[in-house]
Amino acid sequence: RIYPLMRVTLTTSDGASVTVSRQLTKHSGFIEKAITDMAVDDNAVPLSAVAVDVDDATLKLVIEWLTEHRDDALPYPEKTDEERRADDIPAWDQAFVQKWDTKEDQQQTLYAVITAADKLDIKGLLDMTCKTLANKINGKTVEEMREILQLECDFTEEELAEIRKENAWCEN
Amino acid sequence: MEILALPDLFLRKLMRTMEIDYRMRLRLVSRAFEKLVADTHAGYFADGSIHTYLDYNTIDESDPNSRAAEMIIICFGDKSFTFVAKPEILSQFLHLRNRLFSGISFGAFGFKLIVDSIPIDFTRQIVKQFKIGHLRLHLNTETHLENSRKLIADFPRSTYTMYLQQFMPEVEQLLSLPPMKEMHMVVPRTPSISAATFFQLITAHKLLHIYRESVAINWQELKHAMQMISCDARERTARVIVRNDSMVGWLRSEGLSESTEPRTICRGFELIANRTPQQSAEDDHDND
Repeated sequence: RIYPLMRVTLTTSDGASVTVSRQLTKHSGFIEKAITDMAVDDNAVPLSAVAVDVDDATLKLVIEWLTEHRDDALPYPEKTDEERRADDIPAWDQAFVQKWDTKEDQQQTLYAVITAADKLDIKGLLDMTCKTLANKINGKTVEEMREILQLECDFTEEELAEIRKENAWCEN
Repeated sequence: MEILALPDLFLRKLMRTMEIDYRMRLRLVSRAFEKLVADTHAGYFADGSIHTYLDYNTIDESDPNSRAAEMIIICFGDKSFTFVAKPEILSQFLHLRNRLFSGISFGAFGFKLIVDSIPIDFTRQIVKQFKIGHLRLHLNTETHLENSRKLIADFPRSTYTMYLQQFMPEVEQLLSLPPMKEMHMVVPRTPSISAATFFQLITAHKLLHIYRESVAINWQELKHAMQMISCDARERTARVIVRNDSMVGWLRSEGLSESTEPRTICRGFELIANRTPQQSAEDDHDND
């Protein structure tokens, strides 16, 4: 049973402390497990804070997302064998990610949130960020993909030609 | 941080959402991405298929020994792959498949392997890493039946639909087939199926579709068949075309006759309306 008024204090990797409602943290498998491991009474505020290996700026974004999704159903449905879809990101989530476009390094923010979602085991946030990145890549040329993914081509010309030949073969 | 430093769980999830076309492009991004594409699952596709056919356009009319090329076409997602069914070309395809994904899932996958001379092992190698929920099997010859049995053995947890299109197996072969989600028997000009065989088929298969064929059955046996279907715990629907004299015999046995009043309930039947053939014909005409 979850007591929504219960507060949980999270300490970040850069030493900041944030106190949030259990209603938000219930979406994090990591935090829920940490609280369970503390064996505290659910009615009480844990005496020990939960240490999360996430920096303060990223945690704030995660909490912003969790606040919007506090009423999402749990457990999060696993969709490994369902139809592939990346076009069903809720409007609020799309706007949430688009806000980062104004940041100096939007891609690094996205990667930081992805890493945090994985560490904190927040399946909904991981799914959303996955779809966001998939949408950025899908439909792009190889050059555009490299630019989005911030990767250099490390193939030799011969290797590239070989892969192109394989790809071209199967298109015939 | 660079993308390949992201959690493995995330990268695998990301690669499951990529269409085949973009997986092919991602192979060209960098060495690490080429490896990531090869090492990850391609995700789920609702439908896929593999067909074999003879390409008569390849015949060289100046060469009397020239033959139509035996072709394989594989479709999944947004891509189709067509190639000549030769071992060395198959090896090239298998190499490419192994560089495109480590596994792939299909809701349903159709097998229409109409060229008997192409070994079934070609197909079995192609679909080796596939996970298939439902197999659609098209049969025209006894060879196809044996091939289908091998494919069923390769995918024992799947469900199956079988289309008997140009070939009707012997009764023993027919009854030894595993339960099908759908069994379509649409072979023209074949002898009638016996009532005993029919009873076993309706018990075995969830959906039995017999078209262009007939079942040698009297009205008592038809009634028995309907009772079997009614008692089945599975969701069943029966749609039968019955000779007039069979249906009349059955209805009379239930106590219904031309003089029965509408809204009369006789055993399992309720008479909604009593119409002469002429009235029925007029109604049909009005509805046209």
